[in-house]
Amino acid sequence: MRSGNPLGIEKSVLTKWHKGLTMELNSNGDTLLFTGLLYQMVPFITRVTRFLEKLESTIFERFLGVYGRASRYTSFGALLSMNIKPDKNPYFNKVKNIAVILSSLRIDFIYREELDNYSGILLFDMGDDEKFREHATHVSQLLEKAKINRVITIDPHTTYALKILYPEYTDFDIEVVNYLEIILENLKGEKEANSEKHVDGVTIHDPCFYARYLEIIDQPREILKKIGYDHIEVKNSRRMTSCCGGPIESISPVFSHEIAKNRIAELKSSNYQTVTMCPVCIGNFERCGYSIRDISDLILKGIV
Amino acid sequence: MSLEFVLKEVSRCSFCGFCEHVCPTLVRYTRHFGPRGRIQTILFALKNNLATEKSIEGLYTCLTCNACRIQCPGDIKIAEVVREFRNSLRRGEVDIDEKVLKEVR
Ligand code: SF4
Ligand code: SF4
Repeated sequence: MRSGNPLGIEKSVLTKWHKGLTMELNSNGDTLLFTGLLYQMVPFITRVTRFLEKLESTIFERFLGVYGRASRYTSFGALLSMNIKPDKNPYFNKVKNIAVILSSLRIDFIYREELDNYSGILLFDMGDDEKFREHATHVSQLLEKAKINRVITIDPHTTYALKILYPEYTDFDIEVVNYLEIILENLKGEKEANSEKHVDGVTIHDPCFYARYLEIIDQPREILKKIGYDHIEVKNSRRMTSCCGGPIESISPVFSHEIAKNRIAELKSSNYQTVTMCPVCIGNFERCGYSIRDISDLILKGIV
Repeated sequence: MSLEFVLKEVSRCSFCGFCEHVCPTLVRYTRHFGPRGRIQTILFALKNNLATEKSIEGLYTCLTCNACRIQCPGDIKIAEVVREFRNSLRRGEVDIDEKVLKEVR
């Protein structure tokens, strides 16, 4: 992972999400917005996965081992992703939304491109502890050298990596807060919520890592309630949520699609729009023809 | 964590099957693609040094979503075990057919 991410994308293509943001981003302080670059990688992942899905049923594919399938992601990734220009990346908006929400709630944070890195979670998932440790050590040393005291994370996989795995695998000793926790804390007792504007209901798809690894289950529900949305629980929600299939999209896009199809049917049964808070879920559902909203879209409309 | 942890954890399985109905990958309807089958794959590889390409594929297509763990009466950490076992396979710590291992290296 010389580029620092599993797709071999040049990092600057992912850290430029803030271009065109109307607010100023501070770079002096000790609380860092750490995007982990996962949201920004989704359009690239989708493109490579679509390509590989077509390839999967061919004879050539059958000769590739499972691990080989995951690692060849890098080679195809760099090739196929070249023509997604930073200003055309639709997922940049989701990260922008989050930055605007945090600053509207007067939450102090800084952003520095050189400190924002991919967490290395795929190395951990695939069972490459040595490389994961090496990568995590590099990322955490950069943060420590810059005297960062607290990081704000914005997706379940990066949050899990930094909050649970980094202290276990490295000397990492920095407070990790998830943006949903901090948003909820700061919405309490405030009058920011424009609750009359939104009366429609939504369905929540809980990402596995929030629901079962990090116990971030009530926070999104309480936030939605405060900004005026009713939510309807589908079959298999909260701790019983069912995976979107995303984690194996690099191993077998076809299999991953089958899993997504089943979950999509469950979500559709509520007849309300589905909301989630994980870039991998959004990306995989989208690839499989089901578009769902990111919670940041709703929060932004609710408070600004 | 180590193979010792893996073996201790999988040896606690009673093969009751309570974990199976929540596993999203069991849509393939072969046992290798469910939590109980994954445990069986690991046990077989460790105790009898046997594995097949299918059974190893089962391990690599686990989503590590942890849905199974909350169903297990013994709270067996299935996802953790699978992930740890992938490490051991890659490091060559498991004595199984080289042909099958080629898949994961
Ligand atoms: S529920 Fe637990 S004990 Fe029963 S088969 Fe599954 S892992 Fe084994
Ligand atoms: S962690 Fe793996 S075995 Fe358990 S339910 Fe998820 S996919 Fe199935």
